[in-house]
Amino acid sequence: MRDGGRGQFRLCIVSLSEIGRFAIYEDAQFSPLETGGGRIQSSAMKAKVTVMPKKSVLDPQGVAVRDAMRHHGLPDVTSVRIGKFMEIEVEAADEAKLHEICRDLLSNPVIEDYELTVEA
Amino acid sequence: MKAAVIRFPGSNCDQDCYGVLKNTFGIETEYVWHKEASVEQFDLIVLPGGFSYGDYLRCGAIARFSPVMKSVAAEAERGKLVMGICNGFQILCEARLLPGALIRNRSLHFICEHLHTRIENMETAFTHTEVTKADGKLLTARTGALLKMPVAHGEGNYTADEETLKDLNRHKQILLRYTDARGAVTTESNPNGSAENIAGIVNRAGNVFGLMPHPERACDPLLGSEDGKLIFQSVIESAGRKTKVSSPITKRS
Repeated sequence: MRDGGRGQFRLCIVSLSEIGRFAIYEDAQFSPLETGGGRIQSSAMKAKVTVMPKKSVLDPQGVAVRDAMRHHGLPDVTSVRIGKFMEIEVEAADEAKLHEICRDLLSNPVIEDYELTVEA
Repeated sequence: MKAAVIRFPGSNCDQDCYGVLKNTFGIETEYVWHKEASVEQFDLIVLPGGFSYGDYLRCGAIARFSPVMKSVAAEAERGKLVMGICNGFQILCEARLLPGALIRNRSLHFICEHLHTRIENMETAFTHTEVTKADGKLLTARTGALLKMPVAHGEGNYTADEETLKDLNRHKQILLRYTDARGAVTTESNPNGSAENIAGIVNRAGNVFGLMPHPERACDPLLGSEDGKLIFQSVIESAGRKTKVSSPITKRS
């Protein structure tokens, strides 16, 4: 659960008293997030999803990184936008379903655009 | 009159909400695990703050697909009162029960402090009544009244396109705005970069309310403010009224 660690660590920071309460959640199914042992050995298709903040939406992370880059000796950098990149392995590609999931779950159309590419 | 506090994996303000409803206001309250199929039996549904699903992907993005959310949406559609606080607000936006989205604070900092918000519309189910404070003083809702409540969030920067913001203004759906201590909406008093200093909005129908400040942490003088009581008192009164109106239908079914 390497990529699960960050979120849990964050919860601990917020409130140490929460640790004990995690017992309540032990029946929680983090099904969309399960990574431990869930590695797919062979897969027919790879889907790649890029999610970017819409041009009209402020990207505070991008602004901070842009400013940091300027301080690091690249004063000419005008813009940085930070998004997400997801690699998805699927046994059989159902592109219509993938688009639906991109729209409903992987991105929020109110603030983000996504790009999906499916590789054989 | 029965209230539900929904618990997602990672909710952490559920006990505070439960405590206020049950102990401060004496309302019959139950925790509802996110895997429950129905919240039909409740008159008021509270989505508490926290970090549902560790905020993975986007805040509220995964929680919105929890089984219970189908029922929450159905009950909201039927006009039942739903209140989402902090992470609950984020979940309601992700579920499209409220317009817009909450993105990273402009400063990138997690902010945790008491702030002033101004009631922008006192004719709603959530901001209309009055409560007596512990010292006997009356706190009365009126447009322009200030409420001091804590915020604690990293992603409270309310964002929506221009058309949505116009709509929110036109239909008086903005219920709370961040202000300074004198009630002025200023850039300095905007803690997170929210559009138009928005701290809380209601849906067009007026029964789904989302807000970033924590009224449940402002219901006891020991906690530094009792102003949150005004919101709970309003929503409890409104839910009670709805229950009475709808009781004949309940009997028939």
